[in-house]
Amino acid sequence: MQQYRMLIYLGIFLLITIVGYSFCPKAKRYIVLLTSSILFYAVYSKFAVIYLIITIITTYTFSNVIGNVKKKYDLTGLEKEEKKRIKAIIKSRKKLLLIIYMIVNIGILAIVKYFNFFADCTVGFLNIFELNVNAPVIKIILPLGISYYTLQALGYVIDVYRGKYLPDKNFLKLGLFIGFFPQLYEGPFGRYDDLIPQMISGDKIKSENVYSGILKILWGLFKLFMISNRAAIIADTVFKNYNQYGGIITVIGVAAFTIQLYAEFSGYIDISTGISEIFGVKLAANFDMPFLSQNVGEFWRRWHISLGTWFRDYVFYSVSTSKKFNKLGKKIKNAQFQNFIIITSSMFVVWFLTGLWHGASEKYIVYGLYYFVLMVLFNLLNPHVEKALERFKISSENKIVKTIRIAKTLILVGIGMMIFRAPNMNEFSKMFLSIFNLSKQGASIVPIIELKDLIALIVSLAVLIYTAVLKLKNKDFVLEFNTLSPYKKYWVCFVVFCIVVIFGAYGFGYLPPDPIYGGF
Amino acid sequence: MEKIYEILEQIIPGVDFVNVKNLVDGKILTSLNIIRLVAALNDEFDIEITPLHLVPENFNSAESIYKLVNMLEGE
Repeated sequence: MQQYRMLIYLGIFLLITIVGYSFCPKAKRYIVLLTSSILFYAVYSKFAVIYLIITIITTYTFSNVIGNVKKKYDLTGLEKEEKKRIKAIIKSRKKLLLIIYMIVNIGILAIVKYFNFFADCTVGFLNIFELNVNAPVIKIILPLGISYYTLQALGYVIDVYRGKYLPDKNFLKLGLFIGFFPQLYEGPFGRYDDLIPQMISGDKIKSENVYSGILKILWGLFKLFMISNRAAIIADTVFKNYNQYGGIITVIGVAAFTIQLYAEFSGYIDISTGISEIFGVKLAANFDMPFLSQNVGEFWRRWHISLGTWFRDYVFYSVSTSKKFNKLGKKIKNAQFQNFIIITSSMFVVWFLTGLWHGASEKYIVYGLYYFVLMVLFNLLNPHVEKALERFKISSENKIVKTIRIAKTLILVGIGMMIFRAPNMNEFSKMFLSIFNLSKQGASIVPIIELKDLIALIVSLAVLIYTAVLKLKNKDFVLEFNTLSPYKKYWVCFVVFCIVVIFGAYGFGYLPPDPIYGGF
Repeated sequence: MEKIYEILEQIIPGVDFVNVKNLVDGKILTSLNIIRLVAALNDEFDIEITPLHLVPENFNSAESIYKLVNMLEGE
């Protein structure tokens, strides 16, 4: 029921915010957005709003203190050596403050999200030595969107630390950047310099933004109710009863989960993007037709883009260029091997943390490391593949080569999805092996999903694929929609709305799946 | 400047760094090479090159790298 609850809350708060925003003076409109965001969080998550407020307060305090460290020192006219010494002091103070900030905020995340998992791991380790310790268990409801807003706020503080911009002196503006309600549920992560000018502009609500925003919201609802909820029927049945199925039915189950996840996640992102657009805030794109990727690296540059760029800018870059890390690397004499080790180790950190970000479970860590292994193998093997293609005078742009590469990536991503969806690694192994057990594959998937739902799913998927084909031809349907007259826009929105209301998989007879990325 | 040539030579040997002016645009320096170069420059000159500085103009030639290092040393 979480799906219905979230959508109802978003709808109610959208309407209230539109009214408040429209009647407020331009300069104070951002305060309406902030108030709505905090109220939305407090109403939806009750006392857990305190975690969000702690993050806003600490982000404001630490970013300002970090930004002011340099101001306390006057470097003009100093000798080079003295200047260097003072710069080292400034840097170490800033670093210390950044570390304290990280301990506080990552600490909150670690306690509410990972405490039980780490306690289990520690006890498991101690029990190897027959110490027979029981794991302490704490019951904390995971605060809404904590994995999203914590990383967004952390990225901002790191940017201030790096000198990308001066800290915001306005507590309320910074609060809005961290807690903007459309983003809280499933992201996407945004950057301060991109979002804050749009959030505080106070521009009046324009009809073209309203139409475009409503279309995106409806498109998101279409993905959720027409595709995701129906694909979930197949995925849930196959994954919950994997021992009854095998062969092609298991493969269909995995494909259904992949479709469910994509339609759900990108659907919620469309809804967030649409709501934001009504207030003139354009969120960054989070997906770019990921299933057309030719390798898994490209897949992750096109899937959950904001998470990938966050880890690239704030983890990979920091680890791979850190002096301590490189000092260790220098112990390796061969320069090429040294490069390989440093880059590969940095990738390991990124993918370990990416896995852990997805959830407090060993399977998510395996999920992250699975992609790490694939990318290392790709880096090692791809130069040889390219050379071989060159030798046989086959272009990388050849359609057959591209198709084979896309198919290979889909298979690898599908295996990743199995790890992601299986309850644990033990069941993943059994389910993976069942793919090769053709005796259990059965004849049809109709007993799993009713024929009317299967037809609705296939037709909706065809519509989704058609929009992708249009995009490949540089015809974005939202851009095309924006060129229509208001009258035509109204009717397009009305038709999509009717389709979702009449044919959507919701209400009696459907059990809405809990949002997958909403749980992070 | 000599030190910069030396570092570049260690990362990608055999390139005419005096005359080549399109290290990034000409794909001579890959993104992974740039990461290694940044680490080496940070270490050698005790500076901090951040992702903000990772634009082709700063890495297209040994001269532009030299200018970047000088700017960061002067900050």
